[in-house]
Amino acid sequence: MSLLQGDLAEGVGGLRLGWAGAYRVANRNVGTQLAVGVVLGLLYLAVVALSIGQAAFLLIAAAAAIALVWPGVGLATLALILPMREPDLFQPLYVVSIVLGSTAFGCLLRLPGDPHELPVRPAIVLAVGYAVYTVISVVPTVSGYPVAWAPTAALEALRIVSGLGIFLVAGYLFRSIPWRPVIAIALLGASLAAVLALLPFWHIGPLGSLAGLLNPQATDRASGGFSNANYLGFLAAQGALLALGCWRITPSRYRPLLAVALASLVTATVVSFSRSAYIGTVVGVLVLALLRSRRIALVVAIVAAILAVVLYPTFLEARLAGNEVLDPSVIAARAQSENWRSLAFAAGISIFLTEPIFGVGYGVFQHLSPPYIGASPATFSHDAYVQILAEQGLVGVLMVATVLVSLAVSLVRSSHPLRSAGIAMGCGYLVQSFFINSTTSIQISGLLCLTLAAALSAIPDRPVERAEET
Amino acid sequence: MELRVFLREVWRYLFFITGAVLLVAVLAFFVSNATAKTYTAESRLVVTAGLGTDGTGTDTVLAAPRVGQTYAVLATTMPVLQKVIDRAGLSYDPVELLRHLNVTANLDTPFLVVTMIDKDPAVAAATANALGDVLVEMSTVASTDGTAGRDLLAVVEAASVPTDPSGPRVLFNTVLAAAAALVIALVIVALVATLRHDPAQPSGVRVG
Repeated sequence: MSLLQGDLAEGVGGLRLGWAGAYRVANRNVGTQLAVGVVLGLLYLAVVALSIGQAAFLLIAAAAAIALVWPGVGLATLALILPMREPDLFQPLYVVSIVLGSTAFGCLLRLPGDPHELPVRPAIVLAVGYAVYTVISVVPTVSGYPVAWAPTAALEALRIVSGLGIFLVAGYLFRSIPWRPVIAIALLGASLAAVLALLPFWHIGPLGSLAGLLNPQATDRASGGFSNANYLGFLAAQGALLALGCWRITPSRYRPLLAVALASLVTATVVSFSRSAYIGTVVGVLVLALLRSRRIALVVAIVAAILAVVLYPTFLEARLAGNEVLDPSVIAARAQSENWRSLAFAAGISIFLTEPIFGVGYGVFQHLSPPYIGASPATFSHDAYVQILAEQGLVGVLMVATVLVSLAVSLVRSSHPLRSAGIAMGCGYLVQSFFINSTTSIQISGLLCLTLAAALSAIPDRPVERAEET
Repeated sequence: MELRVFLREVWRYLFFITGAVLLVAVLAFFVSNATAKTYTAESRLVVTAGLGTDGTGTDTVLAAPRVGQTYAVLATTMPVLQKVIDRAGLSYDPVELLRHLNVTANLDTPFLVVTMIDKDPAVAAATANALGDVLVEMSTVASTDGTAGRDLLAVVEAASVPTDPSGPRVLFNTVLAAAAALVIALVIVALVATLRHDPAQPSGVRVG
């Protein structure tokens, strides 16, 4: 604590020390920064679980304030809490955006004193430009839509900005903060989110004391702190791919811990009964295998195909929670659900055709889709690509596609140990995005943003930078 | 390429960037303005008390949204559309009309909303009203006791002739075109600067 007090005092006195002093303070005691971030994150989760709003507010305020001086604290807190359910307490802002904002500001403060070069790539310029373009399009004066539509659109835009922010802030900090502990913290966060979904699913433990972290509208399928089981499956599949991708680069003494994390994430993927999560996981594992050898990939593909054929009926029975698979009402309900998805997809194409160049405007799909979907309650597209096509038109699609291609090329050319995990997660994410509006959920996208930041920006296995005592 | 270098290059090409943004914005403004304007007219119908015996029972309240949905589907059938074309004197065929016309009803309210988009504001309003009238006529339930029949639907708000166009969105198109031009111009500057300052490094690859 005295370390922090000293650094805080020096940080506050940064005005006297100048920018170089601010940079030096921010780079000191990296291990302590990460530990403080984890402790704050865990305390925050504990008080949110117990629904102690004021304590949660104080802890987030503390994390945000400390992140101004020690951005590593903010990064560690973020890595831990990214996949967790946000309490209503902080709306209309979100905890992630508050901590991320202050961490980003902490990075900006140290920027003028940073002796290292800050690389700028065309793809980053484009990604930042796309975020700004998205934000501009939700301003009611520009979009011409009712002001009442603006808050939801602004929140969706905030999530896009937050995703990009995590990538940029983490990418900047990974030049001086070792990536391994941060990715380990992120895996811990994902595993906790998975366990939080498994406990109520199996009716284990005093669930009442976890109420603040769980979705109040529980369903037959495990969902934990996510709005529905498909989102849990998405995150769990991403976490499982990260854990698998990290297996070979993890020292053997830490592998038991990684195995526990992997087991919880795979189990959560399974009990989410989410077909998109299964497909995403299989694609990711296949990519991981392909990156090792074609023969292994072929074996994985054959095993996956056999398992799919053999286990699909069992899966359906389990997903239907004991109802007969051939029960006409169950068949009708399933057909209706699939029909709603088809209607939402067709609505997306119809909306796109009304304004194909710039789209109808970001974050308004659910307001414009009702005339195209009849009685279906599924007003959202449930497909990230169709959503972008309809809302941002060909210009938006081109921007997103260019950013994705640039990311993919950089990742393929990277020599970072997280390269394989990043590619596998990216492929899984792209596939799962055909079934979920993934870009508007930081809960499920944050882990990939963090991993990509490490794989593309961090210096591989660089020793922890010691305090630059001068 | 380093941030300072990029900012220096942006300053260097500021004239090009500003010119490109202005040019695209002006072009988008004129193209949007030159595009044929469209007008949207809306009429609203409600499922009336005709359903139940006194119109206030639970059955009526529960059934009304479903009846509304039935009529929303009925409104998009070819015979109904043909009637609307005849009544409003339109030059469309039914399939063409369907591209301009929307009828919405949901499960929460007993209302139907008829929306018509057309280049002629008077045609838009006349068509929305014609469809409303056709649906009301079709909803008449014959009485069994010899008295006049009851209508299941009633027009609560007839479409008025819109004065402001609903499309194209000139400001939206102009601002987004300018923003897109700015982004593309900055990316081009970043590419040029990368090639000039880091010729050995392909774009997108970590430097250092």
